[in-house]
Amino acid sequence: MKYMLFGGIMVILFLAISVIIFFIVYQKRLLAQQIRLQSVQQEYQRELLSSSIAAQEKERVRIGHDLHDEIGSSLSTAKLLVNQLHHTDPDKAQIVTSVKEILSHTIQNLKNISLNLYPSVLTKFGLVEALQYLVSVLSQASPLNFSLAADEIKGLELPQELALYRIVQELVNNAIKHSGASEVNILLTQTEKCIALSVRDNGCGFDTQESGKGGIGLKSIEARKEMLKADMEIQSVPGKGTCIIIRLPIVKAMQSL
Amino acid sequence: MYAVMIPETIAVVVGGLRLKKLQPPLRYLWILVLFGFLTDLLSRIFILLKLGNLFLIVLYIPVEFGLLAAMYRYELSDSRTAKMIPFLTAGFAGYAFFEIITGKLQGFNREERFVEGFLLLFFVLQYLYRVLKKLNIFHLEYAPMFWLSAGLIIYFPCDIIVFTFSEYIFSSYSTTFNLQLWDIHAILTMILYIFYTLTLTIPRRN
Repeated sequence: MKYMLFGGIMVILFLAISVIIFFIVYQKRLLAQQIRLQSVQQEYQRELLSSSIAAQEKERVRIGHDLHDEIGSSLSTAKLLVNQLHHTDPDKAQIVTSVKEILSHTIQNLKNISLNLYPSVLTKFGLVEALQYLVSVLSQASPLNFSLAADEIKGLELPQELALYRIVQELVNNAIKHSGASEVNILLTQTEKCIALSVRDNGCGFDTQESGKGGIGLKSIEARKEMLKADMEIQSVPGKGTCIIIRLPIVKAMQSL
Repeated sequence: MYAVMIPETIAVVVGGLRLKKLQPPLRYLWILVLFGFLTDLLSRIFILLKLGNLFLIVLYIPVEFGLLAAMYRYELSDSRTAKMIPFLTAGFAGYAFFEIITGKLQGFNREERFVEGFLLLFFVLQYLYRVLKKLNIFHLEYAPMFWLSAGLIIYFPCDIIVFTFSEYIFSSYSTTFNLQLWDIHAILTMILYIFYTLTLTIPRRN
């Protein structure tokens, strides 16, 4: 009886310890499995996002090309032909002048739309030149003062440059539409560890705690940020302007391709 | 076996030193450790005075159950078990009060101990199931409630056996055998108090 009882206690003790060890091992295994699953899901989401953005860009390029090459050249031809019309009748001459002005405006608008849809400067000369061109176009079209300070950026592929360009476009667009700012400063720097892009305005700012998830523009920035595996920091105080910084670590920049 | 008072004292001192840093449910554990230490001390004084001390277990069981159950109620919040815990505690307290007023204090409460152990093991298993289901604890080694559960899962199954067979062994076999059984129980209590000390020492970091 004695040995049976002590043996029984020992067996129960052994079983209890085994349950604890099994629990620890099983929990760690489940946790590792869950983390792996989450990372696979995140990677899948990122790939989905990248594909969707790539498809969107492809469509934009196609529309931009069509507008520029088809409608743009037709309008330019029409303008050339109209330029050859000479009327002695002052009423008709006035009409021809008006048509010329309308055609010129339309061609200019078409160029702007085409630039928005397909930044050809970016593909030909790179991100910094594209941003310089964007700033020069915006300075002519908008009453705001734009400034750009940019380092020479190395190591980025076209999809990444395009994503950063789109982010700047969206942020500048937000500043023009909503901030009521008089100045917008764009800063693009590269260090050994990361590429940092910041867009700062001196507008009305907002409460970052109460702003919620933002509109479509901010979501589009978020999507591109996710695609780039970059970090985004929003600094804003009501009445004191907004500064949005995107930091793209160099290692992640290589991986996000 | 006076050695059992060493881990009890250490647990009381460690818990006392870390009392301000302890989260609400762990403060219950310190109260339990202190109560257990005082009960043990009192029982030994009664032995020295050659007085019966079995009535202390009748008072100790509802307090132990109530405090441990309160900790699991906190951890198992929003579950059916958590809602049942106050009633079960009240039941234990009511039973103890009934035993006191009916003068059954000198009896050996193996049924009460059995029910207590069974229910506490049920809470522990439900806690462990919840940990596996939620998977929100990344470092078990920094989860005080896990260490408490480990201690209880080791202690209570053996404790139930000791309490179940002790009276039978005392009446049917030798006193030496019975004392040996209680020595094993003392070792288990020491292990439990080591786990209590771990629970009171480890900072929650998850």
